Amino acid sequence: MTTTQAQHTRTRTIALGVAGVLVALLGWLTWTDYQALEEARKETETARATIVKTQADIRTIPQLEEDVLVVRETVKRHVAILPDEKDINGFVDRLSSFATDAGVKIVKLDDQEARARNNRPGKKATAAFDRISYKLSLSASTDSVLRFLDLFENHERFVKIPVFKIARAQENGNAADAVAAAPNDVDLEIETYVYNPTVRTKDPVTVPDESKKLEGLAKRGLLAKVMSESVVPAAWRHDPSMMRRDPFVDPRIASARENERGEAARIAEEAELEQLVGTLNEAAGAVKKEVSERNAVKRAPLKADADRLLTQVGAKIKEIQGRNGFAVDAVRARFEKDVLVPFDALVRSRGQVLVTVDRAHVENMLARVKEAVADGRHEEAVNFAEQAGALRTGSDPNLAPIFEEIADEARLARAWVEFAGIEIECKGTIVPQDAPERSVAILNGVPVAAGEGVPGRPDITVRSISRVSVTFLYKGVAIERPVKGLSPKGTEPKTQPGRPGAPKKKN
Amino acid sequence: MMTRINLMPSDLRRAESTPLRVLLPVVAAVVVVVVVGFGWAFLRFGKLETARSELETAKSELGALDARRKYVESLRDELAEFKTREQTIRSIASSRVLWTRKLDQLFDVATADNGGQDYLLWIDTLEVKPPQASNAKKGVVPAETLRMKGWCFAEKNPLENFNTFHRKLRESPFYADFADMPNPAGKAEELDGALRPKTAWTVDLTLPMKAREEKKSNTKTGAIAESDGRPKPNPR
Repeated sequence: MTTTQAQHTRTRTIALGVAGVLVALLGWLTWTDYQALEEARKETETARATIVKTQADIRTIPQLEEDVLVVRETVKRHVAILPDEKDINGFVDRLSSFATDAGVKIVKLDDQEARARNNRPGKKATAAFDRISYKLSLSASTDSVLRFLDLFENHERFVKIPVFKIARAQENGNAADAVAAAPNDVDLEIETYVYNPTVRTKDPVTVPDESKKLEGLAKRGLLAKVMSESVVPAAWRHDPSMMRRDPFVDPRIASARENERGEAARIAEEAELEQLVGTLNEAAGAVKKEVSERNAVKRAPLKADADRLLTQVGAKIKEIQGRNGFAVDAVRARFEKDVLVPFDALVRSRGQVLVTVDRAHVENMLARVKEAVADGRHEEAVNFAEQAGALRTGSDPNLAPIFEEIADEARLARAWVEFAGIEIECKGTIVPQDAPERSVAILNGVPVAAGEGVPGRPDITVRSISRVSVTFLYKGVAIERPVKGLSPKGTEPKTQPGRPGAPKKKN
Repeated sequence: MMTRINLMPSDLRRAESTPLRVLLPVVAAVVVVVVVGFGWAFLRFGKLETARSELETAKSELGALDARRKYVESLRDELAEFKTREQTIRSIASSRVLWTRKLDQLFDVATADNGGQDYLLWIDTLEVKPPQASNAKKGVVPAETLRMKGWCFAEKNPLENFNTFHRKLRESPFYADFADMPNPAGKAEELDGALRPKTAWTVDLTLPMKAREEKKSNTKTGAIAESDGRPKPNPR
């Protein structure tokens, strides 16, 4: 090979070598940049997806803000049933005051949990809700225990009694001395909760224009719904005036007492009662004379005489009740029937009040009427309502709304009772599946659609028709009757009460 | 082999051309380099720059939304926290038993004994024990147990009288909140003392209450709608 050829070969080799290196370098750069490009594209896609999701989330902000405001208001309202710090600090005072009101003696009080809570470092709460309990030992009669429990269970702040034990008092062995009011030994725990609003797992959120948004919610009725809800459990008022023997007292003691009194005591009580009945009859006669006298001048002395006799009877009744009434059952029963009831009626007829009717008693009667109505015991509800009505005359005007509510319930119950006696023959119903609004019921032989009156009874309208029942509207009350088994007179309808929202209850 | 000698003066000599076996590979190499170079440049300065710029744009858009995104998260956290609190309050409220009501219902039955003709009950102890948390199921509030001990007196057949009381109790509104009542069991005892009757059936009833469902947040936990068809109290 000549020198030139060698040079050419070398030149070619060098050129190809350089080119190879350059291509390799550029290839590597291309590969690297391609990877970077793919990564950038992926990141961009992810970012875009996140943007879309975030924008969708941002669109939910108004609804989220509403939900947060509503739930905050809900919690604020519901925690009102729990005691606050001030209530907890005064809880022992409250406990003592209830004990005094109920006639209960507190023998021991353990408020360790409450004190531990107060003594924790910096008095800082660690949870949203603190459970606080008090352990008590009491000495109390059965009735006092019930009144004590009743005071707590009706307290405006939520208190519950998770455990208790009542052990009867040990009688001292002498039947005549063992009195029903002997105190029992009671151990119980009273539990409540305190809400600590400042304990948060995350920082609180500030909603812009919160008050304005709350106003908007209120106008739209969303807060009204919250406000109408209640977590307060149904109240129960113990009726302390109820005549009921103490089940923790040996029932044989009363019998023994009764036997010990013997025949002489029975005769004496009967004689006393006879005399009282005689005076009452005399007073009734005097009142009758007074009422029938038209002349005002002549009526005045008659009124004075009636007043005197009524006062005499009233004083005697008070004396008998002060010594716990008659011991003999039959005499006691006759005293209630032949003296108390007619005397009360006589006094009320003259516009006077014998008994001070208290709110708790009237509320208890309302609760009974409502329960009887919701339970389908309409006649009983009417009776309760009538008894309550008898108390209304001369009672505190502030109790008028409660009496009105009782009257409303009585109206509903009376409608049910009357309707139960109405004969409506229903041969069946026709409910087209595709057009239920064209349903008809065959009543007293005539097809009747919803909204029409029952043939022969213009005061009763058909409200709705289903395959198995017909709902009627009678005196403003919706009453449902099943299609079969309608109409024997006096049959109580076996369906839900007509009051909207009234739950069906079982005994 | 023939040797060629060029005798022309160098300035008059014809220039020698690069031979093809050198030129072609070099040119090809150059072309390849240039093409690859252009390809890389297009990728680098075209596509990649565009993609990076798009990414920057997307990141800055996301950054602009970051504050709102955090606000949404904080609203959700707040909502969850308050819903938990609401549920806790409802659980607390629904966990309560109105013992005054239950005791009134129990005592109504215990004393409605038809003047002692049906039964004559004397309660010795009445105890309510707390629920056993280990038996709790999810969504269910574990329930208490009530235990009543005492005696049921009768002149002749105390078990029959106790059966009557047992039946009346089971049929009464008192029992509505209880899951179970054990069948009548016990023994007849003669009590000391001068009071009559002396024979009694020992009463030891343990009644577990029904577990209560935890109320959900959108329902009204209010009135525990139970009836109380209270029998008339015995005028003793």
